[in-house]
Amino acid sequence: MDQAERLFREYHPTLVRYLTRRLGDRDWAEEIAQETFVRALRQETIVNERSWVFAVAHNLVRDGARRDARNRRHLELLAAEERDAHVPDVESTLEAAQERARERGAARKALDALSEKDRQALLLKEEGLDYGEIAAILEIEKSSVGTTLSRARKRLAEAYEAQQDQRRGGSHVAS
Amino acid sequence: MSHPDEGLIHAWLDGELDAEEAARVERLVAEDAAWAAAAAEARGLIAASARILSHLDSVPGDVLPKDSRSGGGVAGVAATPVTRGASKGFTVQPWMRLAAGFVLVAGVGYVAKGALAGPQDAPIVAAEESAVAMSAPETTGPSADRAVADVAAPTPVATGKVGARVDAPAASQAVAAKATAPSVAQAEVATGTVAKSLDSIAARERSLAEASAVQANATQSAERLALSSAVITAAPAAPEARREAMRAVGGAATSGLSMRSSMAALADASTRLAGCWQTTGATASDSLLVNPLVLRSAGDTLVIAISAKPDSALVRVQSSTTYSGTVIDANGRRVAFSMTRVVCPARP
Repeated sequence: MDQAERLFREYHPTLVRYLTRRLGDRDWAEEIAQETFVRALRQETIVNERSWVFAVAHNLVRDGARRDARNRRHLELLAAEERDAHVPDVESTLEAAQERARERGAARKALDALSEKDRQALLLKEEGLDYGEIAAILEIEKSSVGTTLSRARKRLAEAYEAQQDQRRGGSHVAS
Repeated sequence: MSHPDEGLIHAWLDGELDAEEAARVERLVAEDAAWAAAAAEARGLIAASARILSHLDSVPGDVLPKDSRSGGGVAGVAATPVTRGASKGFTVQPWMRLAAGFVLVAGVGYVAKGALAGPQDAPIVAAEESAVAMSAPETTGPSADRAVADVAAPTPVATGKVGARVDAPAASQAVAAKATAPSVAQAEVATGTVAKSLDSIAARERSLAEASAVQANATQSAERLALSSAVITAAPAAPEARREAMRAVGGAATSGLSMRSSMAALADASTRLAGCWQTTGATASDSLLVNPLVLRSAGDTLVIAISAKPDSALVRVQSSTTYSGTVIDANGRRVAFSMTRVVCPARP
């Protein structure tokens, strides 16, 4: 296996997951990931592969933030529905898709409730990056990563729970 | 009793403390009730965070094209946490630069081909990619180095997918010139999965452009075009374009997606819904729905796009002039929805 293929195999799954979580759009995530690996092909030397890959993807997303994130989230929801669709049993599939969409919507809102730094730190940590790598990508002190993650995890859980409470209240009214 | 340092506890649980510091925190957690409680809470938060974030994973598996999974490496990587400190550097060989140039040329060629087929919507690709494509025959020389000089990590410049329109004949010439290079076949094989994935992007852009052109003919509503590529793909008059676009929306690994939908059923449903409908119950929807787009169809159960947000609704036939069901709104909630056929208002 050559180096380029090895790099792709080793980091593509985690990078796409990180980007999908961050962007809320699988197709967009794939685009950014592909661009990241194309740049890796062009790069002469990469000292720390994992940090490099995530840093490039991080910067690509940052620089491309002008895109309409809201529409892309809708696209992701619709794309997920299409992937899950089974024509012979469209209703049950829709019910399941709706439930997944609700969970996804609550998680997305909870994640959006975090500050940018907290959100990025949390997503990077979830992909296995260590405190040193996270600090380098986000350009913060390594000693502050623990506090950042502590705050991020707490706010995420609280925001998600608030979403769930709100949803339960909304369901009650609707029924 | 000391006040627990939550950041320190999280760092401890994340395995980021050195042995001495970890031992100190471990003692505090064992001996101090406040620290013990804080550690328990932190464990819960870490687990909860992972669980919440997992809801955002629309496609946890089947990430790579099938060919690249045959080696077994992908599944292993996907299931195994990334090893910390993986830092094997690698140096790009000349053929790798050539390969990168080739896959970009192939992508531009795909898009340029689509531009020739669809005069109204010339495909748009990044200016940077077209620049690289034009210099592809020299990718092993100094020009290639200059062409890629602006992409040095870790502060890359985003290219996006919008930018200069490609001059189709010029792009075709670039492809033709590239085809005469002796190392192309070798480079294509060497790039393996990267090339396949990049091709899927080019194919996606081409198919979306084709679907957009068809949709423009099928409906005069500009708002419909703004919905999303997923909605655009529902245009029943273009089975091939729709199939391509659906595959693109679903990702490279869902090539069988198109088989799940019945083109005939969609076309039939679209015909049944042609005209104007008064809608009620969905706050995000317009009160008047004109020629609703059918996203999916199974008998009398339809999934339709109902607004430019875009939102969609699951509806069933109640009578020949009434459908009712639910809406998945922007927040993923279900809202009761109904639509009744009305006479289209006269245009001013």
